[in-house]
Amino acid sequence: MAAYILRRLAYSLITLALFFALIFVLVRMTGNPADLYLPLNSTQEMRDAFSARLGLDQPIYIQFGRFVLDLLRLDFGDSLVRGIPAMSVALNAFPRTAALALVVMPIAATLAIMIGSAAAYRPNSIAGRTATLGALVATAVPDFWIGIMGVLWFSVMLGWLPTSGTGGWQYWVLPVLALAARPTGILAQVVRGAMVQTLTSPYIKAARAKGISKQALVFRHAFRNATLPVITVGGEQFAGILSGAIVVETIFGWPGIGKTMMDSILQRDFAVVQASALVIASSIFLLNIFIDILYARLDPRISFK
Amino acid sequence: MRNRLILPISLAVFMACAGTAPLAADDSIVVVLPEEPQSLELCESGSSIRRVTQHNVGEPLVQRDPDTQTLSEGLAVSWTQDGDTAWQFDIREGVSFHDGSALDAEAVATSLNRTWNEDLACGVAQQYFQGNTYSASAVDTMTVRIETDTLDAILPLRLSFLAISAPATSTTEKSAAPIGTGPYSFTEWVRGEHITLDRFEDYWGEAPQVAQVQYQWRQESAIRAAMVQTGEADLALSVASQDVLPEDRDTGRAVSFALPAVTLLRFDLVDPLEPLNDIRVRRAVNLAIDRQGFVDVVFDGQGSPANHVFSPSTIGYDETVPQWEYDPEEARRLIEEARADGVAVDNEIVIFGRLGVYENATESMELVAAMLNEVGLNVRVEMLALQAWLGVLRSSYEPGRPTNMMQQSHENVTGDAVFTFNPQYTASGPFSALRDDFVNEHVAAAQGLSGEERAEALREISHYLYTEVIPDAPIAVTSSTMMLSDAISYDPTPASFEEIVIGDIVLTP
Amino acid sequence: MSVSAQNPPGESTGSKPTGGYVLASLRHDPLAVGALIYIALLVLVLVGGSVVLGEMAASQNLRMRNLAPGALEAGWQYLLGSDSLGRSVLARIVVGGVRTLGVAFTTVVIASVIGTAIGIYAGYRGGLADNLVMRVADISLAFPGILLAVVLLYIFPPALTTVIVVLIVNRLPLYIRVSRAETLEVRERLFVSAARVLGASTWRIATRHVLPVIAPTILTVATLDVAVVMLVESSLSFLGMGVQPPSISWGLMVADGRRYLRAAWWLTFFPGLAIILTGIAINLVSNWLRVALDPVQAARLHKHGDDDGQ
Repeated sequence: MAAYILRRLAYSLITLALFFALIFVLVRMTGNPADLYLPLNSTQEMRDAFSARLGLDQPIYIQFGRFVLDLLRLDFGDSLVRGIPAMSVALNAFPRTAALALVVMPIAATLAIMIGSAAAYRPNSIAGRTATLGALVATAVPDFWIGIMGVLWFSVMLGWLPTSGTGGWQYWVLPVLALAARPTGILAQVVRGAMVQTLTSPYIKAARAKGISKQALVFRHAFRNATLPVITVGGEQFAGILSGAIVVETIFGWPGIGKTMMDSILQRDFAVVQASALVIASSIFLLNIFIDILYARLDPRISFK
Repeated sequence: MRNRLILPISLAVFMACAGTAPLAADDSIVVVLPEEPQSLELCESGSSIRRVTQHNVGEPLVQRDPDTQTLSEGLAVSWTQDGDTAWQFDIREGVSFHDGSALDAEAVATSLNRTWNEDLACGVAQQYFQGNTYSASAVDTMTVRIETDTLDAILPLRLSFLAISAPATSTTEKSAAPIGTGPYSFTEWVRGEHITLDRFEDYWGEAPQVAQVQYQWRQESAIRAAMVQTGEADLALSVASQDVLPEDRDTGRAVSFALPAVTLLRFDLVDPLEPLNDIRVRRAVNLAIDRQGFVDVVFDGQGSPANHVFSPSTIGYDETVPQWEYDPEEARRLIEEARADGVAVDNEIVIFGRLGVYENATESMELVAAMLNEVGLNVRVEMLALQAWLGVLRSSYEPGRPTNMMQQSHENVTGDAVFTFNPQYTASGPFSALRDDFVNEHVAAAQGLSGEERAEALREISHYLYTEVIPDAPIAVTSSTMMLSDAISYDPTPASFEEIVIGDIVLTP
Repeated sequence: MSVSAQNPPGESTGSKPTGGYVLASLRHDPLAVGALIYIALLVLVLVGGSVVLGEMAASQNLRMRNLAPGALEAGWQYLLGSDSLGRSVLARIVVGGVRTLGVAFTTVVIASVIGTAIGIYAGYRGGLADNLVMRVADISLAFPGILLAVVLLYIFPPALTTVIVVLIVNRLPLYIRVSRAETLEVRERLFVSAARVLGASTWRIATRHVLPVIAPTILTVATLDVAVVMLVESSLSFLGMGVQPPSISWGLMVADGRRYLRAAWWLTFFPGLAIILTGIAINLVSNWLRVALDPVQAARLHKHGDDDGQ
């Protein structure tokens, strides 16, 4: 098992390194920050001096070389915008997004299990079809639409919730709502699919013939079989929030890593873009390893080679 | 594995939950800005920074009245010109910085030289002190001497943009915790969340009513407006016209003010392409734009039609230049006349718009394009983000590019047209698409003049540009709207886009 | 979502279920029928409508600005209201829909074809090629999709083709992974081994034996993906990285409309509703396809799903 983890980590590191090189090159292709940091009417000399000061006028392989050397000393550079170390900017913003994800996923999973089981219990009944439809609606709603409509109804019109920002629990309601809809819908469909598959399989029919109640079958067999796909898909959704909550964070002024990275791209703050991308990628890799291990523990069929 | 994750996870949740504490006292206010400032360095000139610092944390040597442009005492109580290359300033007594150090000539000189230090790349130096070399020294305890290479007739005006920072400020790095002499001292900056300033009890001037101000930021104008409506904020900047309800204006919650900025379409006259090379077509463009309609749609009726690219209160504004009438018939006639002479008036003209230059930028260009298409031109719009727009700006006259006009919002807060002519119309100006000897020579000559001579010279250049050259289509003086909660009242000035003087805010009892 | 593994050994499932069977399964699924009707109508309206309403979407009328929906006295085109320049929201939704769905469809078709080809190759050959492909897929998994999109859209000019390319790159790993996983499973089946022993080339095996078996799964995934791409494009447009003004797409309309939240909420509401309804319909069709194209599953569901007294 330990060997498996180590091997996965090693693979991840290689992938991470490649990924990092890619980010490095791509980010630098977005343009010269000089245009954005100097006043609009700056002259070409000023822009050249600015580039030279940041080492951006060197050929890209030299820049990369210096970057790798800095990396080995754990120096990720300073934020062009704020003047503080880029990694601290990223590490400051990341927990806020992670916290959102940690609140959203359990809620989504719980709701999904409820809706999914309702849909699977009697798939062709009215209740079943309604639940299925509900799951589909949740899947199809864009997160930014929920966010904006939520602000319109609950903040502007009703005044129940604050419009944006961070603070007490009221500030969490709308962002969580916006982010939870799609994972709930997707997971509900996964739960439904897995449970239906179990409930209509031959061995279940045999158990029913033997007189075991449907409820017992649902809870003991169908649920258990649904667990694994839920974990896999849930993990993907979690990763999706970590890397993709940009839009919700923008609407609600939530200072998470998505917004930070987006802002840094717009501001050509290369160091922060790299640091943020690294933080997100590493956390997703770790998450994947964690999910794989959890999956393996729960599925007796899998063993580690 | 499970146990080891609990601690970091709960820490993460805790950190995320420890958000903004609500402001307790009644004399505290919340100001919501469109964006987070990039820094709080006093020598920077970006409006997002100056909104927070200027006149609140940092003060200049010379005060400038935003309405009349007259200069008066600031941290300097008097000044004289000494020959052609020097000025002397007497420093106000009894002023201290927020860290307790005293304001004297030495401190002022240090701060000035720091601002002008090229290695530090201060925005104020780059924007307002170009074309000359400056150095400051303390002649005695309270007198500062500033020496220049060449004559600078308007040095005091330039200095009104430069805030003095304490000697303790680093001379090699930009500062994130500014120390100035203003009525408010910097307390904290929680990145991504808010900035707090507290009233400075030892301020030399009149004590302001507001005891504490917290700045937050939201990208959406609708959210900013909603925050004032719900009481989450007291002052919201840059509220778009559609977010202002009629009752907001009636109750005085929404107040608009003219910016020292004009939105315009810039023509390319370096290597002009058809049909904009023909002056009749350029006139036609100007005649085809319904400027009042533009103001009504884009600025909710706040703002006024323009025929110069700077506001009428600027020195150099020529009253004898006629306002452009909205005359689509005449525009069509001119275009047909040009067509008859063989000018390719059907060539496609691209308007390169700039996203975010003001609220509703895209709609404004779509509106203009529709107006121009109405009179027979072939116009389409391409909206660009700032970086791309700058790229096109600098290369808009390279071979292979289409006939184009650039959407620009030109800002001139100084009240002196030289700060427009130089960047916008001279051969070396960064925004210039004009190579005209008359302009180059006359602008250079005007730099050395002062008083009525200067004004006359500048007006002559305006007249030439806007009646004989027609290098652009000035559309309207831009306006901005801010929203105020019931707790405060504030009279904005034309400088309020860049300077929110908290000391001028009155708390309603 | 994969084809059931419970086939008796030796039995080939290389043949797709007959058309008659597929249609018959519709009887059991009224929601899917509704969805198919919706999509058919939508395509008709969008294609036909854009011919009729194309010009109207861009025509401004400053006296009809910000009309609320239902302002029919001003004209039938203002059924869904008008925007800040007096343009008909209805017309803009039609024109925007063509672009949104056009982008989504194009992306999915190209991405699925290329992705499936790569995935089959990697899954069938194994070895170094497979390893390389999986490493690349891993990177894309960790690479925040939006980030890649934003970066690419910043480097290259913001044309529609760039957006489509970015979206294709974003979706490719999905098809690679699915087709590879399916190929791995199919590879070991008897009929494939038989074909290999008989000397069939890789190409022939891939197209004649592997592809038909995994095609239903890919089709199901692709159908669902249209809805996903619609959402991704909308998010990108929302962030200003997707379709550029003055072109229209549903996502862009939602994004623009958010500036009019207090003044004209319908500018965001209706395009958002269009996205949601279309997404639901696509999901329903995809679900139906998944079951209908897998006869074993379909039989089980339809025969036994109705009973309660099992």
